[in-house]
Amino acid sequence: MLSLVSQRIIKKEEYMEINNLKNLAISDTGFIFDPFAGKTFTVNEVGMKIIQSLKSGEDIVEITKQIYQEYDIPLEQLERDMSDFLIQLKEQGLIQ
Amino acid sequence: MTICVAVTGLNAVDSPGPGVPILRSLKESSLKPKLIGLAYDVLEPGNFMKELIDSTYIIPYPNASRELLLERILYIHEKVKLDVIIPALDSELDNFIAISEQLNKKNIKLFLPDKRQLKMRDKTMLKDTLEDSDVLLPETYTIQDSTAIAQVAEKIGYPMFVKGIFYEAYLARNLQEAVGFFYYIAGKWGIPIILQKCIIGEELNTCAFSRNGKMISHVVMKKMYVTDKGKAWAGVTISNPDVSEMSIKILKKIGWNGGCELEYIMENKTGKIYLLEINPRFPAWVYLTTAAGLNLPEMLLKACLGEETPENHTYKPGIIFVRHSWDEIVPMKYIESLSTKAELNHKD
Repeated sequence: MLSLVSQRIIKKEEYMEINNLKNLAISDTGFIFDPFAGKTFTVNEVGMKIIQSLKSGEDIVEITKQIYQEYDIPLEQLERDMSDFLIQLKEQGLIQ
Repeated sequence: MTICVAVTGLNAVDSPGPGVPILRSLKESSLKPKLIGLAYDVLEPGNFMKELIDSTYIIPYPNASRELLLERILYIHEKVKLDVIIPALDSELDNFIAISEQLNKKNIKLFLPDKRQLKMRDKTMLKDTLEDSDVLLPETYTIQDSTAIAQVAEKIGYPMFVKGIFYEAYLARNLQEAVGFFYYIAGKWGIPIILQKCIIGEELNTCAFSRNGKMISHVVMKKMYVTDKGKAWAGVTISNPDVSEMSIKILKKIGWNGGCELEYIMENKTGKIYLLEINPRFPAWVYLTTAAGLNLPEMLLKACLGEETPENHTYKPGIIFVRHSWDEIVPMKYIESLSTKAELNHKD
């Protein structure tokens, strides 16, 4: 099942604008400030985990695996949610 | 010895002047200057901010003669012994540049652009000034007559911005609105009128202090809340190297001397950054630079006093300002003093 994730969103260079992510100021509450664009966002616990992992350069497949193991979410839903989340990050100019 | 600094632009209404935030920044300066207000109207709110200024004086409007302005400044100089004047409004710069030599002879210092620099950043001249650079400008036309609007609209479409030569800009959605704004602005600020293609995006502004074209210090701010007059009512400092580099390039090209604001817009569709205009003085949000760690008005004051200011571009991103209105309760005797004597001393 994870291969679906791999096919859809595997290549790091396709989705990561590493500098923008690296500069994000993330508080424990999930409040995020992007000092480049001046935007603020709020994410939940899982969103924060994904952004933190992306910031530290982890691969999206690995991140998906970790979340799948840690949370009780059906894989198909996780893939959909992950894809939606990445689209949102793209819309905010944090990934390409 | 305490330095005496006079600052103009004390209007702090819905389209606020930079005077009050400049005074606020200077109040926090290590130079601990004595601060004086110079106002055009009795009811300019800065006149009554006695926590900032020791006294305030009414000066003649910019359309009065330069001789009158000089005469009035010299009168104020006799009373308080001015060391520095910081003009803070676009419309008065020509006059202050014209009398700066005479003021200098009286040991009153200013740090201003020259007439050529002022002209180069004029809204009507920016296109020519930046012609051979890679700075993007929205398509802009300068017109003298409202009949030209329809022709320009064929090129840039609606909505378009209708702008005054000094102040005010309105978004017109059709010919009727554009014509209405043309006459409204022309009646207030005169012609020409500027028509500019509307770029949809986020507004990013640089507040900078520059010496002979070298940007000594700057802060970039993103507008978070904009009033119907297009004024930032809330904003946040950001770190955007693209905007910073573009600002360095533009100020170098003009050879700018003094404080200024460069207004940009980052187009939503493309992410491209366009220069909208350059204001030839600090903006009304200049106190944010001080709050973010770079007191730009203090740097300008030091430059007036002939001190070298080292280059410094390190400031804190994520510092936010939220502007608000405040009803100041003013004793009638203040109004009386300003109305009858054109001055008010808070230390009396």
